[in-house]
Amino acid sequence: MAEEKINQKKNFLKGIFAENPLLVSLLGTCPALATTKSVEAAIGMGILFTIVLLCSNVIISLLRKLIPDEIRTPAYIVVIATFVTIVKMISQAFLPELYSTLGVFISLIVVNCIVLGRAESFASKNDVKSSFVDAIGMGIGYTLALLLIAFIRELFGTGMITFGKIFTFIPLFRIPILKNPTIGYDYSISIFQFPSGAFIVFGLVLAIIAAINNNKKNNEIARKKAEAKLKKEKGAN
Amino acid sequence: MSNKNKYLVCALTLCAIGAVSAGLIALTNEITHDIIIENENKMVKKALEEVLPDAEKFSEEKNDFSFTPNYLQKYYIAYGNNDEQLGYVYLTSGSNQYGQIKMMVSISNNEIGQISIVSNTQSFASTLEEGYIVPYQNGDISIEDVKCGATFGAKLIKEMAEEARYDYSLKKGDDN
Repeated sequence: MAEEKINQKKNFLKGIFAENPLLVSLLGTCPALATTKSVEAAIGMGILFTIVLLCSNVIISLLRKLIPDEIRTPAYIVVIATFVTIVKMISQAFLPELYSTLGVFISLIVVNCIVLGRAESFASKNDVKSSFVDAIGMGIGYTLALLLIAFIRELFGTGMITFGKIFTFIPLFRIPILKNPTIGYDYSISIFQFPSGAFIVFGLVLAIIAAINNNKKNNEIARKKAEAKLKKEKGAN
Repeated sequence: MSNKNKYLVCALTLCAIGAVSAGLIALTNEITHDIIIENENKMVKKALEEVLPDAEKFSEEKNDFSFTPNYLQKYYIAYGNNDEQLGYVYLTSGSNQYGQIKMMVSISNNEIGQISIVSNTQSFASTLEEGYIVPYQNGDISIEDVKCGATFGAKLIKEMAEEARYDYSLKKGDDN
């Protein structure tokens, strides 16, 4: 199939908004619920995921004309697993706190539906530049979605946002919002730190997004109806 | 393309991808191996200081166990001021279907003291330390009241700690 020219700006932005992998396509929910206990962990997971997605998309796009159809899936899995292993070793060496916090979920990036899905549906059918931009967009979209859930969970679950615990190269500091031990108030709700809280937050975020989208659709339908009515009246006159 | 040629091309392509992948992973391993070992040693040192903060020095005893252990890797004898023995610290490692746990357990006077996790790759890792390590080392060794999903991890931690205590009791029995 001939590769059509792609609008790179649209290609990039779709991963963040219209086709956000977590909030729209509902892919990669397992690590999204497990690694969003803190904002730092979510950022770490997002960065590692984006690196794997980027590298695998570029390589698969480069090799798309060389890999026979019959062995597409195993070949893609080998490529993705290679980059996950490399990222895991590098994080174990240079970011040991992140490695121990994320644990098994770094390895699970191999079976993350987003990575294999983008390889299969986009990188294997498009040129390297488009695949690169697509990966960046999807990676940033996933990271922002993780950040949103993590921010809500950490804020309500611990009452404060902490930095410097996982990325130890920045000084440890906390932003007390719902909890301040110095002043002596604590309005945090610990359930948000547990898996049940993760599901609750995820569900609420999806509900809000659905409400916004439905509102947009309804406004669009109302606008079209009004336009059609106006046209009819003009035609009658 | 005939079937035979098609299979050959598929096999060669997969082999080539596999070979390049193996090469890249080996190269990354070369670069990171020493750094990872150094990080692990630092974590062990930090865990030693956590489990027995009063100790001035530790002497490492490698595989001198009184029986064939399931979980014990090595142990350290902790010394305080004037070279008095404060207790033993065991490095234990165990795994179940949910992942691996490596931890340091301090034993003094046949009692389990502090426990410090060196590495924890259990899939429900986040609940294990808050929910089980702290109550366990405060003497509450019951694992009946568990939060869903972490029973096996708690059981593994208990088995590792009890094995360390058993070896300690055998050693102290031999000394007596």
